[in-house]
Amino acid sequence: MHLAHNEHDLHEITRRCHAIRMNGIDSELLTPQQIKQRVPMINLNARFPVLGALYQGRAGTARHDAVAWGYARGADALGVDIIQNCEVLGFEIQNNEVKGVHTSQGLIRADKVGCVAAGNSSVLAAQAGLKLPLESATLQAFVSEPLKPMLDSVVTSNTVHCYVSQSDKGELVIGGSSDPYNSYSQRGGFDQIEHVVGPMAELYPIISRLKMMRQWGGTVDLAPDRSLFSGNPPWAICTSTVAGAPAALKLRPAPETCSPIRWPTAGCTRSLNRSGWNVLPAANLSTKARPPALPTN
Amino acid sequence: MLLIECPWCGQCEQSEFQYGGEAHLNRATANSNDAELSAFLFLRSNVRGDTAERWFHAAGCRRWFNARRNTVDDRFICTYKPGHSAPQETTDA
Repeated sequence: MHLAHNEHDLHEITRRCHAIRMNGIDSELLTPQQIKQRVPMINLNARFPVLGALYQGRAGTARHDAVAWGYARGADALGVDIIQNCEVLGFEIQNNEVKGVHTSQGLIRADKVGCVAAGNSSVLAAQAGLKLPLESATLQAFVSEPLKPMLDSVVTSNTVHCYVSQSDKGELVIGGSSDPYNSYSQRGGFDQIEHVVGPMAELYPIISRLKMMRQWGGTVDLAPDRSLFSGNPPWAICTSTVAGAPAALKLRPAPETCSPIRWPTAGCTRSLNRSGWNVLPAANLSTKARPPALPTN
Repeated sequence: MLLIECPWCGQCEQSEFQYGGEAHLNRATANSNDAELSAFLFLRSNVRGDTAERWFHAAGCRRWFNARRNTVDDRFICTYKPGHSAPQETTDA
């Protein structure tokens, strides 16, 4: 559920609602009364009053940890070896084509290299001599103490810049915009916390005395328009890599299909790493991974 | 980075300042081709470590200045006035 707080927002969500429907996905607009029915704790008469919302009833949250492990298990099942504590030191490049990756455990040869480094995609790309249209910033998130079920939708707002959902364990998961300067520090600024929890307390006064149990800052890659970018080699497909969505980096055109990259296994551990830098090659970088073309009519 | 040293005002709270992105970029000109214009608009060094960038004292003297900052620990190395190249010496701001 995406809230609108002014007339421009209403035009924007109406346009977006139609765009989503024209692509065959159900989507609807809610009146303030309908919002109140679905989210009883919301304060419609906030500093920036709630005038409407875009609602996708079939959408939902995927637990981030489960998503990361799902990717890892899926890659593992396809024959990808995941090597932890293995730093990428550079790329082996011959005649302007990538031939492998130099790591702290030696050279790994490959004709194609997928680069899934979350906030550090441009750092890795720079090792291959590429500049990406990405800047890295800190995005903070907050998790509250657990509550009884009170919110069964993700509620987001661009205008007051906060989003909230309730986890299976009952915690409210809260976030907002990224910190407004480039950083790899993985530590958010204190003023940004107030920028997020201020609007939260205004929109949901019921949670104003809620304790936050955890707060953290992750590094995200942001494209200038916060959107996916795709293009000709050297890069084939790049998404705005918020918290680790894939960025694919290649130094020559892809054939129509390619098999999963197999990594040498000798002397490597295969257990999964929960944190830190992972060398996790994208399993299949076929051109089929491109987003579907928009209908022409 | 709770305090930032404005070259004109001295140390002020970080919340008075706005970030202005990478410093010392060469602007695209009327003679630039599409690739050069695109690079000027969208491609940034995005340095992990010591970087030169622009800041704006929005809630103070409202003047722009440059700074060297380490993007790994967010520590300011020094600040300097626009039109100058980045000082090489490292002084704690």
